[in-house]
Amino acid sequence: MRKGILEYCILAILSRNDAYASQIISELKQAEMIVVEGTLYPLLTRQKNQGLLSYRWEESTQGPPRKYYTITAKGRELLVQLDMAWDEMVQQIKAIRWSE
Amino acid sequence: MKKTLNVNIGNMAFTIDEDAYYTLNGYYEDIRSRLYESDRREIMEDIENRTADLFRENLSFPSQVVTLGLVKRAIAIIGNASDFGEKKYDYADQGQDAEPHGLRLEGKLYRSRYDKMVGGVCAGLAEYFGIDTAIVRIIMFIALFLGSLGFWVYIVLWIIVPLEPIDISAERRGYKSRR
Repeated sequence: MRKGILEYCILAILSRNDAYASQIISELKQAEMIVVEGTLYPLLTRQKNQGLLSYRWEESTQGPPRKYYTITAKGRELLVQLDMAWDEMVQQIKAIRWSE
Repeated sequence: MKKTLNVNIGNMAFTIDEDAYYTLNGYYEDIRSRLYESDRREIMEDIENRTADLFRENLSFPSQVVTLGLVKRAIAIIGNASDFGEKKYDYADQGQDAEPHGLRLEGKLYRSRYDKMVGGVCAGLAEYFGIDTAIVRIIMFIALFLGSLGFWVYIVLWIIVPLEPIDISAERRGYKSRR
């Protein structure tokens, strides 16, 4: 479950802006979604293999080029579905928690 | 005075203390053993790149040596190897009923220590190819009647194929009795 939510978050972050892995990580850390960052790399690789995101090598501020991730059309499609599923779930939970 | 090594991490050159090197290398090996083979190389590359960035951020000038303390700090940020899941060969969920295949034999041909009629060659071959021992025995039996080749092949295998190590046999029996 947590993994699924993390993958959702990655797509959401990338839908706003392309980013380096380190930027995705710092955003997730700020949101307290992750504590250690290494586990994110397997997720990114998996999503890339699923065609949800892609990357290009881009010069970083200093030093050698690093992967610069971008969301694909397929990734955006999935994100729309995930957004809907999320909203639906929140509604359902609300209904259950606040019913008499 | 301490011995140092020159290493390339994420396409950057670092001078690293010997103890720090061994710690880092062990850490990488541990993570590697916990990843699926299909994307292992790529993920390790990502992790090495990240380590390089962390080192660079923490070194005040390029010729500064990477110490054990710095390696430990990087590991704390990237996370313990155990955060990358179970070790691959302990994996229980590699397909529900998947035989722990590569596990015991790791692709090495051995003669069976316990499941043997003559030299344990047939059982060893069956194990290696993942088929039933009886089928290998039948093939071998037919080969014996088709000429002496089967016989000599058996003898040669008997001589050159090593007997499986004891710990492997024990594991296999443990596995079979659990079934």
